[in-house]
Amino acid sequence: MKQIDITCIIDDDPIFVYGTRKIMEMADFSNAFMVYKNGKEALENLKPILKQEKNIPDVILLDINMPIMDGWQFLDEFIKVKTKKPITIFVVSSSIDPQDIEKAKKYSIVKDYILKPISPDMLTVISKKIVESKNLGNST
Amino acid sequence: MSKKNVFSIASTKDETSLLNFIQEAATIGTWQVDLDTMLTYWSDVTKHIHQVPNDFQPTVETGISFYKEGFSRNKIKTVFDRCVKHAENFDLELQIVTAKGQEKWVRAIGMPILKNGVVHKVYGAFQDIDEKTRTAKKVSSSEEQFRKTFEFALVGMGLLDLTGTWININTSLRKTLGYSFEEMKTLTLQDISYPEDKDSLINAMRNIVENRISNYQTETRYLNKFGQTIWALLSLSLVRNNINEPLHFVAQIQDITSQKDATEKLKQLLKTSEDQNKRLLNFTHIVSHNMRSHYSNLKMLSNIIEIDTPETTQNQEFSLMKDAIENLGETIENLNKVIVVNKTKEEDFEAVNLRSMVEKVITNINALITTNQAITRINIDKNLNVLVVAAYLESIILNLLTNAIKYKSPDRPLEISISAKLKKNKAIIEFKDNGLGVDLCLHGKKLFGMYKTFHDHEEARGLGLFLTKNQIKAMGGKITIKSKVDVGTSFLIHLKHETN
Repeated sequence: MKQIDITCIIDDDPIFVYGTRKIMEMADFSNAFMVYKNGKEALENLKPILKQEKNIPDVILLDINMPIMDGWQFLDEFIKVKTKKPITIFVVSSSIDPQDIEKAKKYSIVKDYILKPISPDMLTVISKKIVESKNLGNST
Repeated sequence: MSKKNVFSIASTKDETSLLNFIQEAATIGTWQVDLDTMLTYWSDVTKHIHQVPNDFQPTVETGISFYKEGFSRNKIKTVFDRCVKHAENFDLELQIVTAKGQEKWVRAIGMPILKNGVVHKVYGAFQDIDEKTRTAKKVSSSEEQFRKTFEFALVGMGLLDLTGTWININTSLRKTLGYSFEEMKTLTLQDISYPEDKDSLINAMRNIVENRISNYQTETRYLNKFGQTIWALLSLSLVRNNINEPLHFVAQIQDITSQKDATEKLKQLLKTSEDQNKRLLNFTHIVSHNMRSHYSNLKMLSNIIEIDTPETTQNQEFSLMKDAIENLGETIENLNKVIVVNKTKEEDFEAVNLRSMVEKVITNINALITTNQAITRINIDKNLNVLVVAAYLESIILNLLTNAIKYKSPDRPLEISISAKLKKNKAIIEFKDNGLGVDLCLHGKKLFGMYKTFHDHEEARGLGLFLTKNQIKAMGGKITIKSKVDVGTSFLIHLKHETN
């Protein structure tokens, strides 16, 4: 793997973050991780990073239900921020509510809706999709 | 006939014939008793009133005996006696029984004639007042009837003058309002009206008096003597005289407080159960949502352990724990499906071709059907469309087919037939198998309940039929079952038929 440099996880659940990181490390998914506890913290940190165009994450795994600023609110703010490097966003949630799934599909910057937990098999799929959209982004 | 005329005639005509003429005209007879000789004289009219022939010879005793036994006879005896002894006049309305047995009301007038301070004659007049009395009695009896009807009517009734002041009110209304009759007479209808209802009442009263409306009916509120609110149905109308001048109002006030209270209670109850329903839905949503995130963490951690330290997973406890996690996940997923069904909306409905849907599901579980060597028969018109939520219909078909496969008989090859027919605007779909069957006497009532299983079967989870029933109900349909143990089961599903 290792076609992915930096993975950003935005989730308030420490067990999920711990487990997902561990599975990713075992699968050699990416070189580095950025972890934020909610949408607001993520937005505040990502904005300067995007401006400096340095250490921009390749992928964001975004939870929906979070305190302070939830996933939807984050998306609404994030689409206003300009970025040169294409970032693939996955909504990752334990919700199997069809309304949530439909809503995620309405955001064009959201690549897919992933149901928790993330398994090693799922990582392969995710990785493939990231590379796919990266190449797509480079070619245009 | 005026007195003047009588005298002018009297001066020219014979006195006796005049007297007789007057007597006949007025049905007034005369009589007299000479107390010295006890000779008694009755005029022709008096005889006529008594219905005796003109040659009848009356005496004081026979005269008295014509009076009706009891009050009338006793009274005439007394007053005649007093007239003779004490020279007292009398003028009474009494009843006689005529010679022909007819009861009559009469007016008996008596007057003494004195000679040297002693009564020696009694003069009198005798008038037939039967018809007049009877009419008067009839009127007073019908007035009495009306008064009683008014007084004892269950509905509150009252008469009001044109300013709205109470003239009369019946018992029922006094009870409703708690005021005595005397208290009511100092109050107006406006006074007892609920402050916010007062203006429209005053308006209505004016409109009725000014003949813009003939009556006024409304649901309104009053305050009784104890300050309690009374809900009532008021009907207000106006009585006018024969030249159309307004006389007084008639108000009918029906107390509907208890009905109002009952309706209010019902509304409250409905709101409470609506709230509870909402909270329950919220609660189940949160529980399933939150539980699912814990489940996914558990699953993820067990995955990590398996990859990271596979040597610690080579025991029965770990594999049982993995099963428990899986079961938890499945339960939560089923719970979520039920929640989703309960949120079905109008716009989720679409016309779906029934035959295509059945064929699609069969194709999807083709492997399962082949493994179990099941034979499927479809008998559905290819133009038959149903108005459903497509995902539910798919889930229902899948559930019933997999049920049939799960509970097939080990003794015979499984046959499943799916047919449909139209009845009015409903499509009736039948799923029929020749499997194990269910004892409906034993399980009929709880068959579609949550988490009820009826077969000792490792895959039986119990939520399937519950979910199926919920999905069908959410689409305005119904499901029934016919089954015989070791013969087979047949499910009948009624769904809305889509005509276009």
